[in-house]
Amino acid sequence: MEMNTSDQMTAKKDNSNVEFQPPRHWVGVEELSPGYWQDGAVKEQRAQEFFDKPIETLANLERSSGFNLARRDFLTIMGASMALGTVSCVRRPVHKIIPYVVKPEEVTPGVANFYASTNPHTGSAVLVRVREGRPVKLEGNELSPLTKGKLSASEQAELLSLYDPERLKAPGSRGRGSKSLSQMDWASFDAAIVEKLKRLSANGLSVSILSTEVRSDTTRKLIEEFLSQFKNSSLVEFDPLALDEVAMGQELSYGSAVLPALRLDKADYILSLGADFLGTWPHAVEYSGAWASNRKLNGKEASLSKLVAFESAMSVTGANADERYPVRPGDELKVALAIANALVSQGFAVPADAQGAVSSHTPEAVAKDLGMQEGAAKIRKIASDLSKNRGRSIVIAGGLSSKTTSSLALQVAANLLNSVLGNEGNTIDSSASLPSRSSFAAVQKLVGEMRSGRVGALIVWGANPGYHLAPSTGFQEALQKVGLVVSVDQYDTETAQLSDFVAAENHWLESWGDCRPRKHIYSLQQPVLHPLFETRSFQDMLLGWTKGLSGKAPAESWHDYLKGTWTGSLFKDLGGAGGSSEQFWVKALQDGLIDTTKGKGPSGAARTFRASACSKLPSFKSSTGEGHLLALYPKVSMGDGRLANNAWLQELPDPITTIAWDNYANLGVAAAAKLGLKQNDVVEIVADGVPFELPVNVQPGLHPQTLAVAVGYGRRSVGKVGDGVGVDMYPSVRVSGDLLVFSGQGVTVRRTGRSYKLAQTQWHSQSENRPVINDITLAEYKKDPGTSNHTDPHLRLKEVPSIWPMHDYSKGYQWGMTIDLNACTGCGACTIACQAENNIPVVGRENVRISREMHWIRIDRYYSGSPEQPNVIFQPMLCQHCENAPCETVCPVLATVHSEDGINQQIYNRCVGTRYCSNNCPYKVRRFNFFDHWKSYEGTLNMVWNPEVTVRSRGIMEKCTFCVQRIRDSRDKAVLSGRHIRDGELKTACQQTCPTEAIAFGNINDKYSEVSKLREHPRAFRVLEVLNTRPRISYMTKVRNAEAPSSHGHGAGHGDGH
Amino acid sequence: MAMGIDFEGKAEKIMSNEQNAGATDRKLAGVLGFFDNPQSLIEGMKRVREANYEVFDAFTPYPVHGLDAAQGLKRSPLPYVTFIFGATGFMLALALQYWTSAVDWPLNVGGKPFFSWPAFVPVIFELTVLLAGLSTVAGMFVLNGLPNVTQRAFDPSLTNNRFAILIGAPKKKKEEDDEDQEAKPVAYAFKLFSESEAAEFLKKAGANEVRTVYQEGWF
Amino acid sequence: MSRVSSSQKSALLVVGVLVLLIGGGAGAFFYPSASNQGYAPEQPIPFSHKLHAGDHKMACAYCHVGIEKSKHASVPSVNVCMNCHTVVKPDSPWIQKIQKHFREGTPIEWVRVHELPDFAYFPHKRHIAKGVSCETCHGDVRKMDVVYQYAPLNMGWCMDCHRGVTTPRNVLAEIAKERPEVNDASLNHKPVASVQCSACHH
Repeated sequence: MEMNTSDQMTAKKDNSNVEFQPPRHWVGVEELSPGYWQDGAVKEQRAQEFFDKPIETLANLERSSGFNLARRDFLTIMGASMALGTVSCVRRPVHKIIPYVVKPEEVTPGVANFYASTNPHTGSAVLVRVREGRPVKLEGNELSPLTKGKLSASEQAELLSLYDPERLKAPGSRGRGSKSLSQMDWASFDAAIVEKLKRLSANGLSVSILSTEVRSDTTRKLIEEFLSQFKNSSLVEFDPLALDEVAMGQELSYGSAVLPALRLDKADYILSLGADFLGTWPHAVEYSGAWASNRKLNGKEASLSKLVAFESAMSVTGANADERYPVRPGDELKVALAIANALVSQGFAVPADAQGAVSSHTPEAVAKDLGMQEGAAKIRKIASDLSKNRGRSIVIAGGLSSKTTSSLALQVAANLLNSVLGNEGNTIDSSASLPSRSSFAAVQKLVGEMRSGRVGALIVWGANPGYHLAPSTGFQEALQKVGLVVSVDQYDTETAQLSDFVAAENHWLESWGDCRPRKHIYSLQQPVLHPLFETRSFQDMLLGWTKGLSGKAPAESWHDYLKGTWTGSLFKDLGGAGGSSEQFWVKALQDGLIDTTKGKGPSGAARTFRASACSKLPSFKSSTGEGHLLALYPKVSMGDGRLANNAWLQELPDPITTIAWDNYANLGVAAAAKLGLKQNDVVEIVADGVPFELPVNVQPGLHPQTLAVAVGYGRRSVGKVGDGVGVDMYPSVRVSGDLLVFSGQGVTVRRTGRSYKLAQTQWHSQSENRPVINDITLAEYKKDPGTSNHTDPHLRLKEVPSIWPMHDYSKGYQWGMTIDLNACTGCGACTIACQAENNIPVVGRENVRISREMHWIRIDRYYSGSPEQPNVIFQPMLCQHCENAPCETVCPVLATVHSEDGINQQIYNRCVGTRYCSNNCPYKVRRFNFFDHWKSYEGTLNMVWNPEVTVRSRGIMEKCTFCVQRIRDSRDKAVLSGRHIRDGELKTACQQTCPTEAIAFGNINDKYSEVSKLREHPRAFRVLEVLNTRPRISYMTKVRNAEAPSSHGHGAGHGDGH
Repeated sequence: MAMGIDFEGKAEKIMSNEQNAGATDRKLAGVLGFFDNPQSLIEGMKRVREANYEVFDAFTPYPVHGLDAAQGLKRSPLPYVTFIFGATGFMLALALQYWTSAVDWPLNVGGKPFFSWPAFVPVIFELTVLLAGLSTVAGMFVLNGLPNVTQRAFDPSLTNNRFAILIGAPKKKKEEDDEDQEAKPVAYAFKLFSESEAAEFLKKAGANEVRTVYQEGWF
Repeated sequence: MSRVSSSQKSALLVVGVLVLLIGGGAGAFFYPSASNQGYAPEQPIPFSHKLHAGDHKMACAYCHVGIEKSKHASVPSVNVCMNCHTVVKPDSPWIQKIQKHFREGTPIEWVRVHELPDFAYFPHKRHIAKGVSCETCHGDVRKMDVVYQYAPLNMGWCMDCHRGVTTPRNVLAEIAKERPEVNDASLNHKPVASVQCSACHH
């Protein structure tokens, strides 16, 4: 039926006489049914937004988790008492200015200093922005050839963890198993530890340290020195999310237990078998940047790399794949071997040991077994594409959702493919990788020794086996036999609850250290503020205990030890260019890292594949049973759960499900329908006898047998924010040989009849079938780069008559932004960076559920295609800074006006809270402070506020400002230097941290700036341009390297022929 | 009959006060003739008008159709007041918004030009209507001689159920004018006023009661 | 029956109006204003600008080091005082107090005189760069024994200078070097400095 634009905009009429056409881009499966578009159904969905009983909702908010609204003074909502309180006020209260006693030379109050450091948990090089001795923002260190100055969402959020008032403030001791911790001072703590250690070692018992992977060479050296004082002592490193199956596979296949570097920048064809290298893998920031570099279509020829993914749980990588095939957990191995089979039939040769396994996995058999609609032809096509791209392709496997009992075989199969295709040494580069140390096998050995009573003391550093290790591993049982358990951590964790002594540790921003993410990168970590509490770094503790044990320590302090190593042996190895060791040290501190290849990067030769590894490969066995299989996966925000008390990460909506604050059971659309389950229904799933109760999330794109749940939730002892949020899935993890098995277990699903309202944000800003996003195929793009012009005419602005002349924006700076949808992976780093930079408060689960989340930039996620195998596209949505802003026109007090440089300003002190602007905004990017959220920030948490940005109180509207404080800062710098702002000098927070550089920001009047060039690109479109808002933000149409042209269905009831 | 008010008594009082006229400086208002219904009032008014008295007025509890014509009242100038002030409001609003938005502190609001008159329409409308309305009310007060604190109503029943025509004593002129008047015979002179004569006239015009009334202060 | 004469009535009216005017005026005059102009709090140490900046002609920037680099002019830290007062006037009890602070490492808690609300950001460095002298906004500090707030520091007062109404001559001259149109004294002239809201409110 022909409908013109205005009809379509308001088409909520009953179209039952018209054949219903589902929208091309949909947000949930509900949108695909005609019933949804009739008023009643839409109102039902929106029922979550409005409420009739304020008292009830307020009571819910009081009780909800998240930043502690219970502390808020209830009367302040009513407001009257506040008004009365000001009557007696005549003059503002007395404020003090308190300068330094001795001002450090480098500190000028009001001017930020930047210090380079390293995040030891991920190895990323960080630049810390410090104001008057207080870090206020983390950025990536641009000198790093790996991360290139970017940080992920969780790395950005570490700032909040630094100031967490629930951190351990002093060391303490507890009776084993008792809840209460009695605080001690360090002197007596050290004395007690030393005394116990002396006694234990005198009895010939061993001392072991169980930690997360130690990436610091110097720390490792110190630990070894410490442990050398005891007999049979060992350092065991364990990360639950570590890719130890990859390392073991590498060991089997190539003889070196490393995690090879993936040279995605060199890869034209990428096959991911359950590997989330764009989201939760280590080095995900580096890989995202490298992958995106081949997706930007900015070369002379229009060429894109291709990403094909086979995975069980939907991950960020799968969502960004050009082709994605949902499989059961464990099926990835079958796919790999079927591809090997197809390659063999195309003329490739595999080792004799593998031929049995490979030949049994025919593409036909596997495709049938997996239920692939496209059949064996697709597998053969993938194989032939891989072979066409030999040497420039890459097969990646590994990660929790594919960590089944056959995870090692999967690794061998992937390595086999890479070797056969000649990728090894080209796109797989192991030359720069250091041996991977995290090993569950070592943990098992340790548990064995603990159980036999040989371990006298266990020092747990940073690891949390009390939470991460399931009872089936036997760890907690064995712990009973250990005489002394010391837990070194920042929080009173689950493991600390099981310990005798809890040593309060520094946050990494308060500590010295070094890190070696790759062989050629030596990275330094330095403290950027004095420890907030009575905490120490672990290395200082070791030195202290060594001193207590043997009377003398290798160095007075950890700083001295570190500096001694760097100015000693490291200077000898690396300091070739001359200069003193002191200069070497200072330069390393200033730069943050040393790249021994001087930017050229490592180069390695291909390793030979060991045929003996093929013995791990099994023959084809078709899958039995129709039951559900559990796939555990880590979320981009939460990871293994270490940062569960970080409210920024809890509140970050998951890129795929857009749910904040919980984990849930993801079930495919068909599977949920078959079980009669709807969104938010609570089910009980039983995995190997262990029951878990979870709410259901209906997730398009899952195999009917897959039930995917995120790990890292259900913490019991981390703090008010994280305790009790979600369900702990670690107890479902099994042990198989030397590896943990996270996925592949059979589970039963039973309805409980209850429901739990998940805080899902995807419905909070419904585009109601208006054209806000577009994606095309590479073939269409090659035919005509401006294809999106023609396929979706409603994306383009037609000539609109104007009753008056426009403002002249041709002079001076005019700020604009372009977002490349090809590069946006949906990771959410921009959201957290913006939150950190702009003092955006956390509001808690209940508020998020009723659409009151405060994020200024959100990632909208749209599906297209069929619910069983959808394509996913992400769109960051932020204030568009429209030239004809609908919000500015309706503000009764002109709190939002347009600046001369094109920014839609929001003046907080002028806003009276009418909320008309938010009503009028077609993009729904304005955020209103319904409560005084700043009041729930207790104690040291108040140090996280960025002093350059106003902290908003209740009743004030806020929204993205294009980081106007940064613009002012750059302007000041430029004016005082007598020059213009250079392109690239000024970066918004979101732009600065985006790992794929999807965001370009700058002066659109500068014809040489990146953003002005991108705006003119044929791919560039503006959202809802037809409304004549003239937004300053352009989006670049997503171009998919998919074979079949995407369907051109337009909006509901809209036909072709324009 | 007025309800609950002993106006007979009051009339008595007034009459009795008249006897002490010298004690206060009460001015003579004129002669009031009461009518029972609007028709007779209008009849009487026509006659009074024809008789060419200088000062005469009607008092009715409610507006009576045809009385204005009978009385020969000119159209009120109030509409001119309304118009002038409305136009003033219009110009004021326009000037205010022009000055604030285009001259004093130009702000780019939603991409509109600084002088975006369509956006000014609500304020213009408001100020026009406001000034027009207020001035109409004020003008009405002024034209009616309100607030009137110098004259009490002559009789409460005039707001209740009776109508009246007042033939009033002309205002005193200055002595010079008196002299002039004597010297020059005026071609068109008003009928001279005398209490008794006016009272007679009113009775003949149909008044069922005639009374001499004085200007009473409000308090 | 009124026995009040009309002249008495007018007298009453006039007196009533006068009472209202005078009373209202007095109230408005004595009721504290929104600005803190004239605020002269007592400081923990009675530092006299008259003595240091006036008689001894010390430059403002010697102590207030941030003015060219930062948004804050910054009150000097104790070590700046000790540059002289390790030897100057050691017998004064106030100097001994400073020395005690320095020895013990405790900062001096000055009472803030000039303060803008948190939602307004004022950059000293931009103003110093354009030649706005300290006295323009802070008054003749060299004559102040006790620092008081000389200017109202409200937004209208700031905007008067930004719009060219009260801009000092030398500042106009400095700005005119790049933008000669600021010397135009007509009614509809361009502002001298930024009048964009987000220049100060962000």
